[in-house]
Amino acid sequence: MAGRCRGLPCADGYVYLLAGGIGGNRFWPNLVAWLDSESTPRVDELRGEQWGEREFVEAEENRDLFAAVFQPFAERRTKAELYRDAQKWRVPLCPVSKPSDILQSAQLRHRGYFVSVEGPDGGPAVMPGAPYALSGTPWRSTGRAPRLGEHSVGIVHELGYPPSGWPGCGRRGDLMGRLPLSGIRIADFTWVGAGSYTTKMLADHGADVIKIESSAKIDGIRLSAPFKDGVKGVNRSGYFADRNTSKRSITIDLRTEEGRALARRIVATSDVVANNFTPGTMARFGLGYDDVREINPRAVYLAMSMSGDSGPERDFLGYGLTIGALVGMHHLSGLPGHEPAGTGTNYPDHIPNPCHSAFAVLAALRHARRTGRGQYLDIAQTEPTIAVLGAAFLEATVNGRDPQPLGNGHLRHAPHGVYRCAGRTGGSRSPWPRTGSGRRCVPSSGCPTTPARPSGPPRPPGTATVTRSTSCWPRRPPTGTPASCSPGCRRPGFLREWCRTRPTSWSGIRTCRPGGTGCGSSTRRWGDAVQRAAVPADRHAGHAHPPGSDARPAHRGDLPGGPRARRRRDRPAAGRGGARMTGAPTASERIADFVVTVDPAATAEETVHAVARAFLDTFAVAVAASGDPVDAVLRGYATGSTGPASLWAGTGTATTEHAALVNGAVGHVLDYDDVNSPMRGHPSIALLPPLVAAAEAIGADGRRLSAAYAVGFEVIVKLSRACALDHYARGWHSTTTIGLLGATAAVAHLTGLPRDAVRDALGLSVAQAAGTRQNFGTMAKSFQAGACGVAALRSVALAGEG
Amino acid sequence: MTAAPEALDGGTGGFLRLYSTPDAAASLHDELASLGQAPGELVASGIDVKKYPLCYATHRTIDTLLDLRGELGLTLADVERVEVRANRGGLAPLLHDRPSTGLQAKFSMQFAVAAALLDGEVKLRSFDDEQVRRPQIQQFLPRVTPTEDDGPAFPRFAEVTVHLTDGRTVHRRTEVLRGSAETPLTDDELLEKVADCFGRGGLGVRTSTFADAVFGWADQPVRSVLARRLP
Repeated sequence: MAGRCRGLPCADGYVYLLAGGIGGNRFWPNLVAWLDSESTPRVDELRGEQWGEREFVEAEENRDLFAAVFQPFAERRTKAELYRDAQKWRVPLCPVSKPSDILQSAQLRHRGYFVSVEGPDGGPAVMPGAPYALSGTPWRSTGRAPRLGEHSVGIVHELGYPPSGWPGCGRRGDLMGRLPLSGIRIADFTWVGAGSYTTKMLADHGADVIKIESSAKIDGIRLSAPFKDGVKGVNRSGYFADRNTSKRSITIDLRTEEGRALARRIVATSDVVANNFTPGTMARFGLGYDDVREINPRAVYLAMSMSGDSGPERDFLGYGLTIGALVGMHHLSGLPGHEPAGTGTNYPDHIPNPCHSAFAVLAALRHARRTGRGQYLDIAQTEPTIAVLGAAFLEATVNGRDPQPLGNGHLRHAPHGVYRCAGRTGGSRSPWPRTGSGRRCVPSSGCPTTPARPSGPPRPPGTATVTRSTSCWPRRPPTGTPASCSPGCRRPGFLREWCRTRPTSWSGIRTCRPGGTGCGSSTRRWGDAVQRAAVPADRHAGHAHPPGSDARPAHRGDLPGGPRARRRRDRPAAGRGGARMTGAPTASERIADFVVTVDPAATAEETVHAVARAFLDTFAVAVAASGDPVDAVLRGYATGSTGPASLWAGTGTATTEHAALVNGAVGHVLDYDDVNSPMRGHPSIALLPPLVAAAEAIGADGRRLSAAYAVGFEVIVKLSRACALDHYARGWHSTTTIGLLGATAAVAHLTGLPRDAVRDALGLSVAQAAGTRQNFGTMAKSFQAGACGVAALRSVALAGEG
Repeated sequence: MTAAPEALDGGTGGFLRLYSTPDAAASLHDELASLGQAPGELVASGIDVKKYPLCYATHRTIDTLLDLRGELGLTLADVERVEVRANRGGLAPLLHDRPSTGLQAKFSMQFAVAAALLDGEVKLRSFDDEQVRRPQIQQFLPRVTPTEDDGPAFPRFAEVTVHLTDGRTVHRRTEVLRGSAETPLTDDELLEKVADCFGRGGLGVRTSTFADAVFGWADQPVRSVLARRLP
């Protein structure tokens, strides 16, 4: 049964009344009883079963009758009074609220919805807070939006670029320690509306969002009203303040190579790289997905252009305002028979696009956590917006009709609308609209002067619900030309095309860039080896300390050869073998600090050449052993394995672990591989099989591989100098024990494992460090070398998990 | 997945405690003080590349013989017998005086000397069983006399005395180990080894292409570098 809905005037504005109910008339008696209890004149005229029949209610004379009874009642009462009393009588009536009303809402105050955050240009500002409550990890809108470039110095310092002389500003670890997205870093290239709101949501949940801005080309909403005290300024916009809470801001000139290098460094340490530029813009800065994947294959790459990155309109310019018109939202808003009104930027910029994008990012982060591979999220902002209008599209696709704007009307409920309060000037005094079918409404000012008067056939009472539900969209086909917008509007064709190709589904996220080669194949398979999601958010990315550099790692103030080292020397060796001062970092932690400190980009050419030589030698020795029984046995074992990593002796590929196993064993079987004297073993056969497999999987270049090799080599030799002589004498195959620890450090470096995960990876490798000299002279010696590489990959893969 | 932060240096069940001496953990912390310190262990400690595909204990001798062969135009037919004197312990791994297989030959000074003089090279193919069993080789094995010095174990050295059939005697002492970190192979020497290995694995013709790719790999994806090993 149809209800009766409309906006109705009251003492201080309007109330909105759903008089009968949805799908029935159950509230009508409540309404009459309420009016009766207040001794409302003529209330008896509202009694009777006829008020439950739609056709009766829709008749103009009856609408006038209702108004004559209700209007005097309402106009003596305020919105708040009516709302309160209606609820007592269980009548669905609510105020037509203004923002100032909403801010006074006792309900919202009780729930603490609005939060006070430092506003633009200082001073407190109240703004919407958590849109939902997570009891354990509450949303936190406590960090204000950053001033332009506010954190540039600190971020640059964190990245170790330039290496010294810059004062730092600490990470907000106190705020970030417990929220669900803490530890996630986002390189945020978004600006203006939808993109900024997406990353704001993630920031409020604890992500470290670094907003990368330009001081030359200011983010437009920094210059958008409202401004504090009405004075325009880049740090005074309330719009910006609301959309950028909890972020940090750095200004970078991406037109310079130096700026791009800094951006790449941020990208390298980020889990998510977000932008909402027109396709191609990021690529021009060397930050397209292909570039980012090279730098950081685990990065989730969010691109939110208007039309997505493919198709004839991919390069088109657009904003939330225009997207609303493009996809039909504009057309469907406004009054019947009038020019479309639109909804401002509210929907595209602030609801479907940021929410779907944030959800997509979370899904992709989950996937990356499981598989170690990032992906490309191609969000065409038109598409989530279209998804809002699903019902309208079904009207078009199923019934072949273009829905028309309803104004304040409702498809099922009548009367339905917003009406002018008593006492206001202008417009219609009559509470009942004189236009439309009786189910339509008029605005508070300017009644339609040329109303369409569709007069469809009366609806027979008792029509089956099912029948109604399939035809409950505008029952009367609109008169005149359907679906025509303003001249030049492309919407109809666009919609038809969209409907033809994707009638009912929404698939705004493409997991992989079409035509890309990495994420669908090699990167996915890398997941079988490195299944970790964490990005080095806690990575202490100091500047490079490549071998050959005089720079020393400045980690944790524990300078090499410093007081602590001397203190240890002074202390007699403890019988329990404890070497560490209480509270001082463990050996694993010190190694981890080193691993995360070395910058691959700064690898010396000499190192790159030295590792190239080591690789040529090691690889060649494996090739020479092709066909050896060890090769045959292990290839048989790895049969069916598919993955990104090459089998050196031969032509196949396999998973990273299988490749490391086969290459490590085959490369060692001839005992022709290289040696390091302190190690009393073979460094390259420990380091290179897992490193090369990982590098192939993640798309690393020779420089990065070389840096990782140098890191692993450094760890091997330090460990060896401490223990190898005795270790080897005890019968351990140091190539595969000490070598494993070095290989773990190396793979951890190559894949950007965070500091604590590096520490854990070393512990996991201790759990697998085996290999004895007793096995020399058998295939097991070679196997030990292969197993060493597998163990290193596995340790790194698992250390980032959980 | 977590692990003990003390897994390496823990006092009870740490790696170093279990697999080395009680003092090793303290030693490691001392060593870690110079972790990453210039010039780095890749330079300071370095890599020894194995120039010949057999036991290191033969390498100084082979270097010496190949030098003499080149300088004097020697061949096996010119040599009556060879004496090799090495530092104490320097011959310990060389168990096979009369090798008859390739595997045995890898631990045989006698074979190393014979092959170097006969072939002018000691490469992978030298260790095919049939190569080892060649009559010229087998007949020469008894004419090689390795002995160890009874002095200090270091420095390692090889003193080679070649008695020629014409009665002359050539003597040379070698300490450096070519291919070691102190005296690295040149790139060309390294590529000789690579070519030998590639030839053995059926990729001989790819050597220079692949080597060029690897030497130019700084900014190339490793996977595309590896692809260059194949036609």
